[in-house]
Amino acid sequence: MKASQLAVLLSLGSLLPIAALAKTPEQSYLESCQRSPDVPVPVAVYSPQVGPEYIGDTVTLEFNVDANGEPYDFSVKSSPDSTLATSVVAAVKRWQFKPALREGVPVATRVVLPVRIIDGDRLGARYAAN
Amino acid sequence: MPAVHPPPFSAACGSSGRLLAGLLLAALLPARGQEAAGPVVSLPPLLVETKGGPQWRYGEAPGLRVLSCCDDDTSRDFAERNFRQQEMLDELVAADLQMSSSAPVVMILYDQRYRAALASEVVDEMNRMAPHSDPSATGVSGVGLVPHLRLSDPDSTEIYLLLEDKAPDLSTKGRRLETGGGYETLEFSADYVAMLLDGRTPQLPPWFRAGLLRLYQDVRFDGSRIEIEPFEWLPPADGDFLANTLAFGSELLPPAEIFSPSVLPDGSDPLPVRARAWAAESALFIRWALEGRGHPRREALWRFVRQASAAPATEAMFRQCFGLGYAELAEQLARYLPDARRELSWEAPPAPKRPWLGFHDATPAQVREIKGDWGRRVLDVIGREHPQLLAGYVARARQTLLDAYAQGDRSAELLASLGQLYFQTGDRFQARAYLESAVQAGVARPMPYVELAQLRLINALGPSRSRLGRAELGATLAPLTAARGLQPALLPGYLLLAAAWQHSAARPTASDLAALNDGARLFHRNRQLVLAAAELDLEAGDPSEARGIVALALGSAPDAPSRQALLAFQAGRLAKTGR
Repeated sequence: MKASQLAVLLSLGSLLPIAALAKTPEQSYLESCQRSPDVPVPVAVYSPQVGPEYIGDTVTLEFNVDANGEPYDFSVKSSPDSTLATSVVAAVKRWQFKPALREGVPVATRVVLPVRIIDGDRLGARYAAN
Repeated sequence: MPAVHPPPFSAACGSSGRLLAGLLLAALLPARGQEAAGPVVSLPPLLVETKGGPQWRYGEAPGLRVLSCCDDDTSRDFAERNFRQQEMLDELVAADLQMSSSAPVVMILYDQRYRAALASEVVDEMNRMAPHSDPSATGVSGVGLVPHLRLSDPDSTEIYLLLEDKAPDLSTKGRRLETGGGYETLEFSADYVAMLLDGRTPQLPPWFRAGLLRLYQDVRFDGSRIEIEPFEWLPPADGDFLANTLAFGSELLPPAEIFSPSVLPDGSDPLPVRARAWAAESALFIRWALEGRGHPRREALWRFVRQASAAPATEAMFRQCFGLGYAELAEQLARYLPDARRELSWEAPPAPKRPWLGFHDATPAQVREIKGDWGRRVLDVIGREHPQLLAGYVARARQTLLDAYAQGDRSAELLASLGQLYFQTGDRFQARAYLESAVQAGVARPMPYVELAQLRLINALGPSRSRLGRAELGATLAPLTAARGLQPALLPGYLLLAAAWQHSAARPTASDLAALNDGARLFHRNRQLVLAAAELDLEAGDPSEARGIVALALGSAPDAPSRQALLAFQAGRLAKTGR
């Protein structure tokens, strides 16, 4: 088989796995987190329900993740208003983590989390129903 | 000592007593009671998509695709005004002298109410390109520009516009845009007109481009009426300089100097006053030729421009189009100059009946394909103005396009956008995979074909090989041949064609050479292409063709290095071949 034909077939083949890339934003987020043992790693995340008036805003939270992987001790470092902050804190309180390890022992860790509100294009339920 | 409980919300451990208590309790309380030790760890930002954001609507008409979150009336009105403005522009420049594209213009109409949703860097760029309330942006008092960001590839254009979401008051139609308010008339910016002229192939003669853009500064649109304000000749000091220093002996340059300029049109002329005079007189000539709808000189002008795009302008060519020689033209222009100092206006023909532009809810695939492609196109701007944000923008554009792909979209446009995104970001393997698919799907833009040919050429040449085999040459040429069936013609495609033949042991056939010479005639201001084609012509034993394209290029050389290189080729390689 000629090299150019082979390259074409390989290229087309490479497209096939991409179909499996449909992910929820939460799944994408979990994959973006590093897996280093000395930092807490989110294993379950929940997004807040946010209206379009907050598009472009960012809420920055600081909280602890305890040795059981539970978040607590929340502090809102920045937010455009308390309504958005409350909604974001309520969602992140439900997160679960794999705790950070120090010398193999789970330890509590202080973390900072920016939450950015973006335009979701209204691609959710309306089209799922179509 | 009282019992110490962890505070419900963050509080600094300000006292050593509390810290000590915390340490003592650490061994006694369950893990939740531990104070966090060590540095604060940053988690990646969580992106939250809003629910109930703008509802995107989609509509299309010949030559236009619209994705809009404005109401349908506003979107339709804007599209209609866009079509009408194009018809008005056609009154000033024949349609075939403007860029033609196989791909429709894509417009994203964004409601001003959602302006806050746009990334600040995008809004900054819109303001930089079109300061809404700054009359200097248009040069006309009371006329502003709709905030927008136009992102043009060589083969297509996508425009992001911010609109007031309200149907315009038709009773005021025809009035000028009030600074800082909504739009009442829509006019193409001079920059957009320049893009339409620059994208036309064969490339327009430089005098026509310079003259028309000079004239366009004085053009106003009032409903269906086209008005050209009184002609402003050069400042007196410029006129004195020309008369005394250059000894032209009159206010006007000789016609031969307009059409075959010794001035350098790229703005690098050592005598800027001479370049200003040349542009002003080109504008005067075009104005004289336009002189109202139905005037026979208008058709003569279009004929002359078409011919002067394909061959160096000559007096014989001019006479054939206008029935005048250069001396008579000089006399007529001198007589016309006082007349030009009054307004010229005429009525454009009424707008033709157009089919109703219907809008429907955009599908997720339409939203993601169009917004993802916009995300790809904006990368150049972000890379230039905000390089620290580039990686994030690349990731978002890629994810948007891949989301559409994952949802089953296999449209040629989406595949091409993905291929071009990977091409832009240097991932040749993924780029080639998607571009192969896009070309197989028959994408209507030529650039993906050219980029695929480039990847095939790079792959075939490899790090160690310098010559193409016959099959590799064929694989490189095939997408370039397909691209030539689409509009606009692309300079990179012809440069690649020349490069492929230069790297091949095979000799081009007559039809191969004809394709390359066509390219040299289309892009005669590019000396690299002209000289490559001329060299291949000489190698094939066709010096007359080589002479022809070099002469055409010399007549419109845009800068001094081009002119010198072409003259050197003429005096060297071409002279040696004899006649």
